[in-house]
Amino acid sequence: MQMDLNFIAFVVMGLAATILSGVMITRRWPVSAAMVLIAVMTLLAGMFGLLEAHFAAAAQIIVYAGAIMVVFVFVMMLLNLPPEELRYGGVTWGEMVLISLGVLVAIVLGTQVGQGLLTQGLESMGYAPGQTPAHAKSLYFAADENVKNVAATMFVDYLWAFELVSFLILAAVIGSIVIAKKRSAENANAA
Amino acid sequence: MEGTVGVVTQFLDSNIGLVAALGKIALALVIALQVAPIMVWVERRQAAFIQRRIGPNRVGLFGFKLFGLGQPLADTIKLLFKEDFVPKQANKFFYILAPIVTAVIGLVAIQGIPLAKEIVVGGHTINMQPVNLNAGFLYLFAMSALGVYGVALAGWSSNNKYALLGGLRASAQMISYEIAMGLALLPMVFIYGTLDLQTMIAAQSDSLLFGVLPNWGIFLSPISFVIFVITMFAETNRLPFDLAEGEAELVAGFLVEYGSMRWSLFFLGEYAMMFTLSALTTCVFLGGYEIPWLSQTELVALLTPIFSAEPATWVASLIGLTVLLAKTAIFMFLFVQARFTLPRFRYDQLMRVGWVYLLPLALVNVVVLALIVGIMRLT
Repeated sequence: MQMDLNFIAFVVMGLAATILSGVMITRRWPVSAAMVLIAVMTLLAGMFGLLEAHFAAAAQIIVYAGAIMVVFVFVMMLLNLPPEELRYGGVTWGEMVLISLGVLVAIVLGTQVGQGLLTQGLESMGYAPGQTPAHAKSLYFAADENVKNVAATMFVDYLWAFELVSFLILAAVIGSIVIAKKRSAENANAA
Repeated sequence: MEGTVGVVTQFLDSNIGLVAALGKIALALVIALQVAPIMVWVERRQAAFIQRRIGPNRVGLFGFKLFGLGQPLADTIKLLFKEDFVPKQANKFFYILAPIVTAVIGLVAIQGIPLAKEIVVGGHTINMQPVNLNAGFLYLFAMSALGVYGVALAGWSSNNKYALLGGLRASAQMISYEIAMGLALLPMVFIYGTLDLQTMIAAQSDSLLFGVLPNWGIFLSPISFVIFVITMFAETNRLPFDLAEGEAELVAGFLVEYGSMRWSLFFLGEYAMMFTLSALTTCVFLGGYEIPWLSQTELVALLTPIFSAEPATWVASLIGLTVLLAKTAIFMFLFVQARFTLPRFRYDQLMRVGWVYLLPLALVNVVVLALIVGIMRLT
C-alpha cells in the first residue's frame, strides 16, 4: 500500500464512488439518479482497472454503463415523470431500518473485523495466509495477461457455471419476448 | 545551470512512466483537437467538388488565400462570438453536460490508438500507445458505448419534442450497430489471437499469397471489413445513417436547441470519434502504422546506420505516425464522399439493416472464420 499514484487514484475513486452513491439515492429527478449511477459505474470500472482486472473494467463499461443503463435511461426519458408524481410520502420506518442496516454492513465490511470474517475459510481452500481471492492460486497464463486468464478460468474451471448462466439468460430473453408479444396480441384483439 | 539540468534529467529518469504517459496523452489530444478544424475544411471543399462548385477559398492567413484553409479559424471565431443561451425550462445541468460528454468521450477514445511502435529515450523504451490496457481495443468499444449518453442527454434536456425523439432514435441506432461492430471484429481476434492492437499490427507486416499482398486484415477477412465500415458510419451518425441529425427530417434532431460553441463541441466529439474509429479500422484491417512488407523493427535497423540507435527509433516512429495518419485519411475521405453521394436511410430501414441484415451476416462470418481458423490451427 505504498503512497504512489495508483493508491491515491484508487482512494480518490473509491471516495467519489461512495459519495456519488449517496448522492444518487437523494435525487429528485430519475434521470439525474440514472446519470449519477452511470458515473458510479465508470468509477468502479476505473477501480477494477487499477486492480489489474482490465477485462472486468472494459466489460463493466461496455455492458453495464453502456447497454443496461442506456435502456434504463431510455425508459426514464420517454416516461419523463416529474418528481411530484413520484414521491409517495416521507421516509418510512422500514426505510430507516434498512438504511441503518446498510450503514452497519458497510462499517463491518470496511474494517478489519469484517475482513477477518470474510477471509476465515480461505486457508482451507489453499490460499496462503494474507492472500485473498484477488490473487489467483494458479494462473494459466502469465500474470499480466488478464483477458487470457479470465477466459481460461471461465472455460476450464467454471465451464458448468458458464453454460448454466447462459441458459438463464436465454430464458430471460425468451420470457421478455413472450411478455411483449402477449401485450401486443391483447391490444390487437381489443382493437 | 548544470545543476538544474542534472536535477531535471534525474527527475525525468525516475518518473519516466508518468512523464511518458502525460506526453503521449498530450500528443493524442493534440491530434484529436486538430481533426475537427481540418475536417471542417475538408468536408466543405470536398462537398463543393462533388457538387461541381468551389467551396470556401477566400479566407486565408497573412494575406495568402491558401485554398481557404483559414475558413475553420474564421468559423471558430464567429462561433465564439455568437450568443450563448440555455432554453427556458430546459434541464440546465444536463443541457450543458451533453456536449461536454460527447467531446470528452471523443478525446478519451483516441487515447487507445497506437500512434507508433515505440521510442527509446535515454535508455527507456516507451510504448507509443497512450492507454494500453490488457483488454486491447475493448477500451475503444467502451468509450463508444459511453458516447451514446451525449446524444441521449442532449435530446432529453432540450425541452423539445423533436430533440427528444431525435436523441432517442440516435441512441437506439448507436447501440444497435455496436453489436454488429463487435461481432465484426471478433474474427480478427481469432485470426491474430490477441486483443492487443500493437500485436495485431506487428502480425500484419508479413506478406500473403506468395508476396503479392501484404498480410493485412482486409485481405484475411473482407466481410469483417465491410461490416465494420458500415457500422462505423452508423456509430458516428454519419450519412447514410444520420437520420438523428438530418436536416430535413427532424430539424437537426437532438442538436436543434444548441447553438454556437456548444454545437461545435458536438462536432468536435463527432469528428474525434470518426477519427478514432477510422484509426481503429486501419490498425485492425490496414496494417496500422507500418509500411507494407516493412515491419518497424526492420525500419529501425535500416535507419540506425544513418542516425544513431535512439534517434532511429524517433524517426521510425515519426514515419509510423505519418503512415497511420495517411491511412486514416483514406477513411475520413470515404466518410465525406459517402455523405454527399448516398441518400439517407429511413429509420425503420436503418434498424432493419442493423438487426436483420448485418447482425446475422456478422454471426455467420464469426462462425465460418472460427471454423477456418480452428482447422488451420489444428493442422
